[in-house]
Amino acid sequence: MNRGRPEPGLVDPDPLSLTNNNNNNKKSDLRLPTISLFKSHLTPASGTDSASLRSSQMGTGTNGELKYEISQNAYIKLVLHSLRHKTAAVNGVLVGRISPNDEGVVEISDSLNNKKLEGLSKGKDRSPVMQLCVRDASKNWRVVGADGGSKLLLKEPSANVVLSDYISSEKWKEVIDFDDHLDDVTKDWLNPGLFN
Amino acid sequence: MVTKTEETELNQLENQVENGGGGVWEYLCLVRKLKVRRSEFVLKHGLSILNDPGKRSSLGPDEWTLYEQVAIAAMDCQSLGAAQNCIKVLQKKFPESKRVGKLEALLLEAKGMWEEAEKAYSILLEDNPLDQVIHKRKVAMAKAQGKPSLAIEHLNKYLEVFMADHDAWRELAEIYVSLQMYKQAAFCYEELILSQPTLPLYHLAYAEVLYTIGGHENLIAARKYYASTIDLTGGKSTRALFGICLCGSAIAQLSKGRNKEDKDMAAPELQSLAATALEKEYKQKAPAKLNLLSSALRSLKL
Repeated sequence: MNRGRPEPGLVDPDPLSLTNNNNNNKKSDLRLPTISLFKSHLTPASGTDSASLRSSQMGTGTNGELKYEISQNAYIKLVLHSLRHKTAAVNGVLVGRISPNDEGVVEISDSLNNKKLEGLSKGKDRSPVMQLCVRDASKNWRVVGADGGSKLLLKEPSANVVLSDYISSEKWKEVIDFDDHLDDVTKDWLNPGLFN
Repeated sequence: MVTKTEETELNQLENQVENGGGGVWEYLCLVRKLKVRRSEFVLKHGLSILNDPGKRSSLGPDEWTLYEQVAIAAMDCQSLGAAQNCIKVLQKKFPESKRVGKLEALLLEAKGMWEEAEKAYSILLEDNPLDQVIHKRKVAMAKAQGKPSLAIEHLNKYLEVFMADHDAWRELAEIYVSLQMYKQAAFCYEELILSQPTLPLYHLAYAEVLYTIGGHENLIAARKYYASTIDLTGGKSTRALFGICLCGSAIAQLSKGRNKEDKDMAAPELQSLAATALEKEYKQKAPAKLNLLSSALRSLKL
């Protein structure tokens, strides 16, 4: 069932203190992206191949552009959530920070998912499988790259193996998003025990 | 639309069936009655009946309805072979049938053969120009091909004739929202509220669209509809409670520069009532999140 949804403001991580890295949000450097958002769409026919990502090599991005390295847990949550809602395009917020080791890389540690699409990019009608948007301290969202997949890299190469394992055990049934939480507050949108 | 009771009953039956506890036919009938989309289960369990000659013959004339149901579920799961087989059986039993003709056209859609499907539907429409299902398939095809404006065009034409079709209004509203055409979406929800004023779902959806459009007047109106949602749901709508708090905060933000007369009179009491209700709910059901909630609510007050 699709229902109306509040705009992204409701799931703005700033007041909800979702990570312990809130201190980073106070930095005033305008170039520092603190939150990322993705949009992904999996049709029943396409399966997960189109959503699986290559692993990354550490290093500064070329052309001064930032690379986005996604942790295994964040990545798996993201894909599992899409699989749970096969007939819809889904949204989410990735939480990350600039890597302490490498200024050219953003480390994404967690992902929070939701169903309703709030258009942040007025793209063409045929949306890509996955689109990555980024917000800096000025609070404006912008799309990263023509193909989000090339900017988003896996931190742990084994993540895809773990992912296919979870898919075969239908783990995606356990993923909870904020919408599910609003329907039943006992459900935790942070999915703390998902990988235990 | 499905009520909570109906959904619970359906899920219970589904679990029972999945765990080998029987009740497959009951489940399939309920899915059909409620018009829900549970294609994987329908396909799996429907086929188990159809592939068993004994079970199949015990269905009597309902056998053909099951073939139809399974065919559609198969197409939804992209099991086109199974779908084709079901349709073949039906074609044999009911040659020249328009109902089977619709399934054939649906299969063309499932294969992505849009032009052929269009042609098939047009031919079917010649004989029955008021077939609602076919008109809706045209909307679905436009959506599937990534042409939302065409879908909107078809849907608007459809609604000129079938203006009492609530599902169509909802679908139109959702397409508008997906294109960020919020004013048009609001119009659809207004139509729905006019025709079914006691359904909280529409009040809530309308409130959320108004909140999204923003601006002082819309926020005040949004809050009214969040309030009516709370009224109609006996205070059980968490979304509406949050909505009240967010509206109050947004209105206060906007009112900062305004004159005293424009100042929002209802805000403090309504907002604190909603906040209290939320805290009560979280304390009872999700105590681990209570601190998070409280600090979020605090940050909304200015």
